[in-house]
Amino acid sequence: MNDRSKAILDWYQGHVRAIVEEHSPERLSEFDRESQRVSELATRAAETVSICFLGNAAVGKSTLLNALVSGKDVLLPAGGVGPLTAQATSVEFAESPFFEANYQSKEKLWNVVFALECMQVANVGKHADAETLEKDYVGVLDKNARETLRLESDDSRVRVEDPSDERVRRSSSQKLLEWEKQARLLVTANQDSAAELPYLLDALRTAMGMKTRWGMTVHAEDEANIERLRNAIALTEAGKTFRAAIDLEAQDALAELKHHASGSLAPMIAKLRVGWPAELLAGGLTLVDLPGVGIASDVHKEVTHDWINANTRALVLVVDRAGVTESCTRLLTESGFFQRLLTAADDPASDPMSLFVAVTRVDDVARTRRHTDKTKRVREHFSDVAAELVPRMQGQLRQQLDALDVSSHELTGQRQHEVIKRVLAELQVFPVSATELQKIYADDEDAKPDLPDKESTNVPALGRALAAQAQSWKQRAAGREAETADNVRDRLHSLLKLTLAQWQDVNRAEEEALRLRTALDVHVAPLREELATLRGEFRASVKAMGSQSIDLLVEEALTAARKDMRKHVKPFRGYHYKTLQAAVRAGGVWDGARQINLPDKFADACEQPLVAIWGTQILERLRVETRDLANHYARLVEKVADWAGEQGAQIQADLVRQQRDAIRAEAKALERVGRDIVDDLREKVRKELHAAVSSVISSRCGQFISEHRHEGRGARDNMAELCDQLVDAVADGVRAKARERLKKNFENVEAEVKQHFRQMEDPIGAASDAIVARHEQRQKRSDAQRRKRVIETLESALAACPPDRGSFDFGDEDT
Amino acid sequence: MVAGREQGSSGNATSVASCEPLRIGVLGDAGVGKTTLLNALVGEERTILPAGGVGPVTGRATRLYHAQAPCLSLKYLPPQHAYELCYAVEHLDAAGGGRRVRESDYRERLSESQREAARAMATSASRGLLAKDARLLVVGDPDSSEPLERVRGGLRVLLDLAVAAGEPAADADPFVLFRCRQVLRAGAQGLKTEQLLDLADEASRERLDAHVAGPLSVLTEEVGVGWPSNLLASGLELVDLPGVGVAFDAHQRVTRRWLRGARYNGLVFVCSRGGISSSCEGALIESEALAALVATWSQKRPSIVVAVTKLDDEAQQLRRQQRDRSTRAQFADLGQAMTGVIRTQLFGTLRRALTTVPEAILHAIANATPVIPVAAPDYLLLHGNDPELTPVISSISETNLPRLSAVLRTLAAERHRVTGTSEVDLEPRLASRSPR
Repeated sequence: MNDRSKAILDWYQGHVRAIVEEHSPERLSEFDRESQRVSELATRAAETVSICFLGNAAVGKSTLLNALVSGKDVLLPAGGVGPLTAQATSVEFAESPFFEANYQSKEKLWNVVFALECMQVANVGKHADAETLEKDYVGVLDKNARETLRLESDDSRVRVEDPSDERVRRSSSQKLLEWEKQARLLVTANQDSAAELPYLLDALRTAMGMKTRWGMTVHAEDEANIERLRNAIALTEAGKTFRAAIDLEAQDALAELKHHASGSLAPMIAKLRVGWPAELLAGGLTLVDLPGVGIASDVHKEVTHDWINANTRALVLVVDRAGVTESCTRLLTESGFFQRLLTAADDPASDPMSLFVAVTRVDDVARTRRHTDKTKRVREHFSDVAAELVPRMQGQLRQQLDALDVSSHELTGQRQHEVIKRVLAELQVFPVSATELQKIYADDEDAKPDLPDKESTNVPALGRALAAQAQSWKQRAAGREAETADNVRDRLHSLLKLTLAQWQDVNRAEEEALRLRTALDVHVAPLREELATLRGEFRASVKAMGSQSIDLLVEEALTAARKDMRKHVKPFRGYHYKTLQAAVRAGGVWDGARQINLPDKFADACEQPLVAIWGTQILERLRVETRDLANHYARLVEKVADWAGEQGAQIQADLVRQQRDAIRAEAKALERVGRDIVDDLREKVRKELHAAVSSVISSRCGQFISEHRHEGRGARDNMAELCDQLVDAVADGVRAKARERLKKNFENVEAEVKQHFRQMEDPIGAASDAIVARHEQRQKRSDAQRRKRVIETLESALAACPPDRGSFDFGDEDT
Repeated sequence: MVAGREQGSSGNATSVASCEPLRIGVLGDAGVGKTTLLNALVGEERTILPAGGVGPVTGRATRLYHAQAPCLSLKYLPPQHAYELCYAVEHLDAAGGGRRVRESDYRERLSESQREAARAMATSASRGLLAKDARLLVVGDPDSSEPLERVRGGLRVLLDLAVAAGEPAADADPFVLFRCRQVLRAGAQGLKTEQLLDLADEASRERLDAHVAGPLSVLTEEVGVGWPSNLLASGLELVDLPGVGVAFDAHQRVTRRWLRGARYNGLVFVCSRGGISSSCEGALIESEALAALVATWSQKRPSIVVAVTKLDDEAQQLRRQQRDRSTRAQFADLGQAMTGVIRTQLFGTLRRALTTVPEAILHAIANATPVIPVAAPDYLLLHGNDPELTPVISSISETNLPRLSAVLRTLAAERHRVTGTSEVDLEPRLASRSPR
């Protein structure tokens, strides 16, 4: 938290809160909430900024990260075979290097072992074994889990006539194959080792403290691995993480990290955090290395998907010279990243998102060119290639964003083009060579660099851009924190001044006061009328935005969604009927040669127009209306102040101006209405819609199957027709949910607005009271002793107030 | 059509085998280094095919065949193809608010069904590919930001269609214009040319590049490069397929079409240390190419060879972590380890592609598949003798290019001995699944 915010909050807690509680108790909750918000914003500003690295397997993400963070040390495992990174590894700043691992739950490991044992039992083929095996696991895994796992492992072995069934089974046996690999890795630190399954199983049983079953004992060379696994299990059971300092002086400082990241413990890792004293990270930047995508039947895909899904705000897309791959595009589209990127660019009030592109191995291309064109040196070719790559990558991304097809919805369609332009203008492309940078660092006779210096590899430039991004976000968050704190300070200050003036202003003679009050009441009567009209209009238009109009807007959004969904299922008619059959059986999800995921796709199709409508049609309009009303309030109060000014020295026009300023401060606060609600809405809509969509699809599919329409003659046409029907069924099915959600959201925003207007319940009355207090108020304040004490408290609170940042500046919002 | 058909027509299989070269497709992700590898295999110290560009480079399936002197043979698509493209682009632009489509221009030139197909294309999800093809042909860059209406106008100029006064039109390259007009005149059977290729000559090289990777690839059906190479002389023909895996890439359609429809006897997969990519697998499964290849599988004559590229880079990485082992030793170790990884992956791919073939056979196939780590860039460097560049691998044999070359030669040699008898006993329905 910055010093000023802290001073303001301290001032509120130490001096002002008690005063507010005593003199304006109705505003206490408001100020408490606002000061709470300042602390929250401060926390956000202090958090480190995470930037994820996404790319195809083996494109060189880890190498690039190493080059960025550690220069010549190889921190993250790079340069092995196969997809190396199996879990997301984040690298953050730490004075003294460390790493920390969160392990998978013990149950997950049991699942693996049990399924493999079932498979082994089936291999041996003795029925009695199955029963005793079951006994071993009573109390370890629950009955349902055992049932499912047993079926899956049995199924993988059964051969059936129907090839589509075969596909379903093979997809589960693919999992078993992967599990077997994991077991191999856990026990022997080599996923391709020749160890037999019974040996692996007994070794794992040993590690988990279960008696062995297959008559094997752990080989000496694997004992260290088993010991490591045993420790990991103990830690995960105790709910602890593994944390180790990295001693750079030590002989093999990074050995333990390697055991975790790519060695025997890799299958046990849920999350890996590395702390490293890198200058780049010192400003509060965390880099996240995601598992590579794009490998056939890769099981790590989910990890990556989850990361991108979970509010990733900045991403480095790592590609090679060919450009952005299908796998990455698919992931960014399906996880909604592209969509969020566009929405964020469209709504300046929401938190910004960023996309960087790093093109790796540019030096390879340069060397290939050198081979045909010897008139230029490699470094010259390198800069040629780099220059060509930038527009090429922008062009590729433009096509992808264009193809997002939110254009079927008019609202977003109009803006999409503009927004894409903006996003591309901000897109930064870095053609880099991490390997060249490492060669420069290494200074090895065996591998001489072709580029002249570190800077020319472009890696440092990428690092600077990422650091600058982190910096600018932190500044933005800090700016919002400061802005909110100042706003709180100003409002409190006005309130104190006002209260003080009221307490000081009891010296006037009673008759004089009465006369003034009567004159004032006459003057403000028309103003009151105007206010009443304005309020009526405001209420009417808010009401119009509410329930009825939401119903209409939802209809509009669903029309757009239907169009999208139709478009999505159209090509299904060309799919193999077995594929469709498998998808129908599995409730609309099938990940085989073709990937079908109706619940996700349909939920997306519904979510996008709904959120767009919420942002553009409802929130935007509500913001305008509330701000207008608040400004009208300020104008009317100004008029009261003008009258007071005309009455001469006998009235403190200042007091009224204070009030007007207070209203202005409120008006400013109103501009923020709903800002946090857009993201929140997206999350909630997604969750609820997904559930609604899934249930519609699975019930329809279930019915379809129970009627046996997925088999026999015309099955394919039936299924294609089913998909068409699903579109309407889904649109109908989510309607209620969508309405309910939007209405609820609207209520929340309305409540927020009301809260702001509460203290402006009667601005004219309050202004009048400030000019000349009503009789009973004067009575209350006439106790000289009490007055003295109150005035003293107020004065000392005002004296302690942090200085004004300057007059109100309405222009510096979000720039 | 693959060898599967030869079995069916067993009567003249031997004679076909003895006179026709063994045709092998080279498949891999864009940017993985297929073309560089082919250049090394066939050209040795010469760079034949354009490599080292940015974005997906190779746009057409490029056949490398044996010839006494270097030559370039081209077969262009019939003019309808160009009109279809233009017609679809007009519809695309009109849908985006551009001027109306001049339907009358196309009534004579395209049949009703061709027009309908083009209109469907303009509204399909892959309409972006249309614009890319058009941009490549007219402007020379598929990702250029040239506005569609200018591309449309430029395309009309190329096709000799009237352009209204004030209608914006991008200028195409004069040679593209010249060729385009020739294609238009050639009529339905398409234009064919064959000419000597002199790579030292700038114009000759540009011509090759324009057809393989440049604007003219859009009009080209097939590019062939004849080369006096020893490897090819052993009875081989290698086909460089456009890379797959890049999002919204028009070229990979060519690859899928080729895999489905062309005749070939084997495939070389090129992959990097990540292994077989989902895009490659997708192309293979969709085209049902594996079914046909597996049908003729035998231990002696594997129809799949895997070449792993860029391991030299990885070897350098490892060398930095472990100073006590040389880069070349690391390279050899990686190659060993990679064999296991690739075979496991290949088994998975085969299982997903061929659901009816017994797993034991698939296992045997995966385990008999040669996996060869190659360092083509180093091979080229070792031949090129460039003082500025030092190769990572210091001897020709350690780059493994000779090994890959030998495997391919063996395939060709085996082919000449093979008669039409089926060597693997598979269910008859498998054979019937080979592409028709």
